[in-house]
Amino acid sequence: MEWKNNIGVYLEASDGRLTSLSVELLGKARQLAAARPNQVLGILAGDNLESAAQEAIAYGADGVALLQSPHLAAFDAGLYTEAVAKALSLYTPSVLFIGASPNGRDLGGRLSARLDAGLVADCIDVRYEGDDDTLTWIRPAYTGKLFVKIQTTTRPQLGTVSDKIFHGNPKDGSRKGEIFPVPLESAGTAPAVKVLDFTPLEQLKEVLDLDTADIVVGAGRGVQNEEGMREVQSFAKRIGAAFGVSKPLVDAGWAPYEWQVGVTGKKIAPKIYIALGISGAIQHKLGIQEAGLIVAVNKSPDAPIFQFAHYGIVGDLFDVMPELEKLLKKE
Amino acid sequence: MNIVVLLKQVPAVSDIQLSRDNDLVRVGAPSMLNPVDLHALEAALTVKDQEGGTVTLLTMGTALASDILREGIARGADKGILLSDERMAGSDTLATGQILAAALAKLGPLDLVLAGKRSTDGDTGQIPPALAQRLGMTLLSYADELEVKEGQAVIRRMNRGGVETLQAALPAVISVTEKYGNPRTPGIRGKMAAKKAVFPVWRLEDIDLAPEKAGKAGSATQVTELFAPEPQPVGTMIQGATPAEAAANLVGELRKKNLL
Repeated sequence: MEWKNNIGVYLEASDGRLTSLSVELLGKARQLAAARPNQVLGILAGDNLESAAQEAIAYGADGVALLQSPHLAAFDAGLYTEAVAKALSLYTPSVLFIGASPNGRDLGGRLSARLDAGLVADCIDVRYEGDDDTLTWIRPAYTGKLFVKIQTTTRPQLGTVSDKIFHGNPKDGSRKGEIFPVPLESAGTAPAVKVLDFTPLEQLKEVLDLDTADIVVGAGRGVQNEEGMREVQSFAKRIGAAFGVSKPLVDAGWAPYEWQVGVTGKKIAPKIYIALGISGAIQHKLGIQEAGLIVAVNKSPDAPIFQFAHYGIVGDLFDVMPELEKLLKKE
Repeated sequence: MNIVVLLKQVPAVSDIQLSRDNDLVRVGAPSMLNPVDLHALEAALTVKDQEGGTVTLLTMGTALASDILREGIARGADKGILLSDERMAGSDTLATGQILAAALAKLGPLDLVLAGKRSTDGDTGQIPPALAQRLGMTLLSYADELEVKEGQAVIRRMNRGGVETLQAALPAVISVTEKYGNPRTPGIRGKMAAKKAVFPVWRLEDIDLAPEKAGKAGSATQVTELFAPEPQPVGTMIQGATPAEAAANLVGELRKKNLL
């Protein structure tokens, strides 16, 4: 099989398993490979990664260039750059997708300099617009006020892609693919960066911050009482969202002021805001207007929130919430 | 310690508007120092306080960018250099990396190059790794904390869903986040020094860089279009005979539109 001008995906693994971002990139690469009959090449660097390479094939790779050495056990931007550059010279992909994780960004910036190749950072979409292999990358600019379309004039086309943008394919263990171990001259070089310590953050802390969460669930007077509010709060936790409330719930003494979302509380800008039993008073509206998407559930079809929510459902939040949970629940 | 801090002048974001034909209009265009760069400067000054040495500021831009060098001197930096040349205009990250690396090589040998993790305008975060690659230096990126002692740098940063502590020998390129330190405010002596400061202006010849490696000629990316995001229409009501059906219709719609 000839490996040339394929679609390359730099893969990251954690504890021997592909990261979800890598699976997302494989999904997108597969989609592009279907549009322009082409093959998807995964590039995987590290140590003890045979099972991760098999996983990459199950998620959509046709081949995996495997760069292994005990010195690559922990990420070292310099060593990884040399290793990946070697794989690129052997298999000459037309494009290389790199996940925009901290390590992916470091690798991307180094590869761009190493190969004197253009790189587009933090893309949110990518597509073929012409007839050749040139990809059009789309990325936000000016803190998301604008978007730009960018093309690179060098090969491989390098781009880093943010997480949760693309969808991975379901794992298909029956897919076939080749694994190519790549011999590394730099394998004897010791890493320049030493990991002294790693402390994982508890899941809890990660999701409950109103300022940084991707999804926020807000509870309003529709909860009826403090127990009702607690139910909404645990719904938020189970779908991996942060939790906030409208002013009346704080006034009633059910929730601390820190939870209040609105012009006199916190102004938030999540990707998705789910307003449950919130009528949408101006005080609350001004606190959530920077949200990317507002979804509202309210009993009253005349609630002002339906005037500015992107999607609305008229109904009792206690009927709709359990149904939403079934569809959105995190494992 | 020979320490260099990279600074960048950026447009004040709230003033960005699009003209009818999608050109960038910088209304009244006030510029400012890229906010996270103050934290990189603070890191440099802290290292200097403990280890001694000089802190040199380096920026690329128009003549106006000397304003941010002055701001850095007022806060305690020793000197500043302005890279300014019309042949540098329109540089993407590839060309910018070439230019800054050439300038840093001129300033070397260096112990430490500090930069903010990213700029608010270009917003790519690609320059620190590109410089590390070109200068053959070690890269420590996204540092929330930094200690430099006996030729070693130790940083703490968020990565892989946790906090990493990394160590590397100098020389190193280190990018810092806004979590690093509290930028000091200018003192009287700093303000006086800033008033008097004169900054050398370096052109391509001064850094021995061929013109085809800088500016548009040295860039490998082309912006083909600039556009405003389409506003998501409001007021779509989701129907359903039962709550279960309505919920399924809602989630289906969000997934279809790639919003979830």
